Formats: sequence, structure tokens, C-alpha cells
Amino acid sequence: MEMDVAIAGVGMTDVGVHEGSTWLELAVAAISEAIEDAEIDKSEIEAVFTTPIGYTIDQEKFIAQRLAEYLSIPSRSMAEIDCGGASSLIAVRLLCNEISSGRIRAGLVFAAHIDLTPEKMAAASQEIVHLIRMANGMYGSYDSRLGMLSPMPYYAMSIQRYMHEFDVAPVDIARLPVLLRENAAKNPKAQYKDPITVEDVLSSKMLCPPIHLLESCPVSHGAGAVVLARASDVKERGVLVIGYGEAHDDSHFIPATKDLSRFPAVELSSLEACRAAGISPDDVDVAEVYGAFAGVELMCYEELGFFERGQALAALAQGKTAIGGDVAINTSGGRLSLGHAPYATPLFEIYEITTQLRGEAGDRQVNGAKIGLVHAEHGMINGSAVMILEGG
Amino acid sequence: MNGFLSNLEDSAARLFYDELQNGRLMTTKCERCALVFFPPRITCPDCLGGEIKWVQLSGKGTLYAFTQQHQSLAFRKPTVVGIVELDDARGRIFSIIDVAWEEARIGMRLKVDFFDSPFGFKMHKFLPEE
Repeated sequence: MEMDVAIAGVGMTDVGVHEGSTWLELAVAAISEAIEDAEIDKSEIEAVFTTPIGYTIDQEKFIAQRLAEYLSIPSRSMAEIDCGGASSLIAVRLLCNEISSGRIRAGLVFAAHIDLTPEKMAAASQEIVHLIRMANGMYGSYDSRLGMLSPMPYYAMSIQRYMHEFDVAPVDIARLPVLLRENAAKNPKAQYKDPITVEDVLSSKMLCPPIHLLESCPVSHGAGAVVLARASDVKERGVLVIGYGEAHDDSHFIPATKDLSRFPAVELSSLEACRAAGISPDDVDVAEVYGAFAGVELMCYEELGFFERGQALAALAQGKTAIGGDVAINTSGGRLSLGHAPYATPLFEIYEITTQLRGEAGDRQVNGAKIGLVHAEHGMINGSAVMILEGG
Repeated sequence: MNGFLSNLEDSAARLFYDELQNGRLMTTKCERCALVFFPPRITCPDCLGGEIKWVQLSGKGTLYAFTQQHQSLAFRKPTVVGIVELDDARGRIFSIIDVAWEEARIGMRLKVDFFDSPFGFKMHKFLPEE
């Protein structure tokens, strides 16, 4: 696929709980870093794309417009994209199309994410009754009546089905948070850096069986930004966008008939992206996979095509997904240890892969990384987007 | 507590809960393609036919997966919640599984029952078939 689009610059805040910081402050920090990193003049930016700023907060309106005014960025293309956790990757794809079409030479995608903490949500005080209703409403007319405020039970049941079908032991999954934490220890932007053991994971609180606390992503705040430009305009540090795929099931959370242990949208989006890039999943050196919980992250490795079905756990145990393995996955620390701010997360992933493909990842650098993969999803992995990047 | 629940999304959902108050688990059948589907809708999800008929389900099914909720307004641990594959409709129902955690098994046969939920209305749950 001749897209002729490059990642020119990337920026992101630390991931974590930014008490007292507003979405605007977080966004400004990430955007300033991305524009400086791109080594272009602000006046060259012709597009501003963004996402909403959280799932369970008072919804701010006109995010892109207010930001463009704040930083004085006139533009010729502007939109706020909402497709759950895949939003900012889909926004990047739409900006790629704008640049590919020739209408725009360079543009900006940013996303800031702030949410209620689970503790505040569960306290369900009268001051936030409207937010509780909004959170409950995400689960539709039927599941909402079980008091749902979090999608975790869906993920738990998906992982249970996978464990049931492949006779998986809890320890097989518990190795993943340990590896991700080792990676995060080498990433100054990560939320959690202290080492953990398999025993720590298995003795941590059982949230939603079979999901333990240390197998769950945290609720994080943060912002990310990416500057895209025509490949021919970008100097040597540019990273090329060489493939993209996207697919959505006809389901949101629990599918009517489909096997809960499969994520066909992930498989389809990876196949499309790899075909467009003219590569096989085996050619990928470094990948950022959007796994909000350890079990489903491993299941996504298989759907993306890195391993045969049922083989991800053995691959993990053999070190194939570690830095130095066949494909280094979630070198950033992943959602579990980098932290997870859903609207911004795909931009964090692009930040990590771009850093890796430029050879600027320091202690966590994957030697000779040339091809990178970025994955994002929404719902309970009912929809998926995959982007393939190539270093210079 | 009812004030924390979101609005029902369509007239089919309102009718579903009205019938539930009378101890009936109902869903919709498409008059054009004859598909019986769950949850009920005002339009057939297959053929988009808009003529639907209400039918009562037997309430029997098989446990497909289960867990216990952590953060929720109600039905946290030790309550078991799970997905039941219904015998006589295409689709699955997410419900309370009135079985001790240690006793719950994928594939176990279940039948519907009704109880007064903390939200102030009658709700469905599933018991072992025998």
C-alpha cells in the first residue's frame, strides 16, 4: 500500500493519576512535545483530530476546537472521533487518509483521558448520580439491570472460556504481568515500576474471577499526541505508516452466538493490515497490544497471528514475547504496567513503537527493530484496529 | 437505588420488564423470517422486518460462562453472575446464577426463576434445572 504518510513526531505525558491536572493541561503537554519532536513549525499543521476525554466524567464538548484556539492552530480539517478504546487509532487512520488524498500535508491527533476512579464510582454518591447512570447505560437495557459499572465481568467470562477450552492453569497467565512489569521498570513514563513475582500476582485480590488485581489494568489519566505528515516531507527520524486494518463484529460486549474465547475482529484487522503492508506477522519485531487484562492480552497475541491458537501461553513461558524474543510485545509495560487511559492509549502505543523503530528506547530497546505493530480495540474486543509502522 | 440505573432503550425492553413483573420471561419473534431472538427488539436483527410477535420462553438453558462482579451497584461477590444460552431463542441472557460459586460449572442445565431485586422490581435469575 502506497500511503506516503509518516509519523513525524510523538508526545505523551506520564501515565498515572494526575490529581489536579485538567484534560487541557495534559493535552497541551503532549502536543507541545509532539510538535517539538516533529521539528516542524506549528503553522504547518493543517488538521486537528481528537477523541472524547473519558467514559465516566462530565462530558466536555468541542475538545478539538478549544484546544486549537488555546494553542492558536488554524486548520482545514477537524473532528472528534468516538469509537471507544480504538478511537485515537481510528483518528490517526482518518488523518492518514487526509494526507494520502493530498488535501493535507501535516496534521495532529491528540487524546486526553481522565476518568472517575473505581473507588469514587463504587461509592455511588448522590453528587455523581448522573455519571453512575451514564456508566451503567453503557451496558444496555438488559446487562445494566445487574448493576454493571465496569466491563470486567465480560472479560472474566471470556478468559474463563479460553482457560476451559485450552485447559489453562492460573499460573500460565500470571507470568504475563511479571514480564510487563520488567519492561515498565525501564520506561520512565510508566505508572507501575516496582518488580512483582508470579506469587504476588496469584495472591493479589481476586477482582472478578479468574482476574486477579495484578492481572487488571489500572484506571489511568494521561494524554498522547502524534504529528503525521507526508513521508517525503519528513526527515530521517520519520517512521512510515505502511499498513492498516480495521474490523467490527455485529456485537457490543456479549455476542449473540459467537464463541466468547475468540476475537474475530482482531484476526481480520491484523490480516488486512499485514496484507496492506506486504508482511507476515512473523516479520513484526515489536508490537504494542491493547490488552486491558492479562488473559485477553494473550488471546489477542494469537488473533493477531503471532502464535497458533492455544500457543501464546507457551510462547510467553519460553520468553518469545520478551525483549530479545521472536516478537517483543508491550515493551512499554503494556496496559497493566504502563497504565491505561483508554482514549489516549493507542497514541501511547504509537509513541512506544515510534521510539523503538527510531532506536531511541534506551534500556528497553529491541535491537534492530524495523517493523512495528500497533493494536487497539473497543467494547469487549468486539472491534479492532491494527497499524503497521516501518522504521527508516 | 433505582435512580442509579440508566434508561431503558426501547419499547421492547419496557415490555420485557413489564412481563417479568408477572413472572414471564418473554422475547420477540420475527413474523417475516420466523427467527426467535434474545434480547427482544422492535426490529428483526436478521432481516430487519418490523413486524414482531411476543413469545414466552421456556426459561431453560445451559450455563456458558460465569464470574462474580467486583465493581457494581448490586450483585457483587458472593453472588454468581453468568451467561445462559437459551434453549428456544437465538441469543444469550446475562443473569444471576443462583448456585454457590464452588458448585457452578460450565455446561450445567438451568431454568429461570424470579425474585425481588434491590432495584425495586422483579428480576430474572437461574437455578439448576433439577
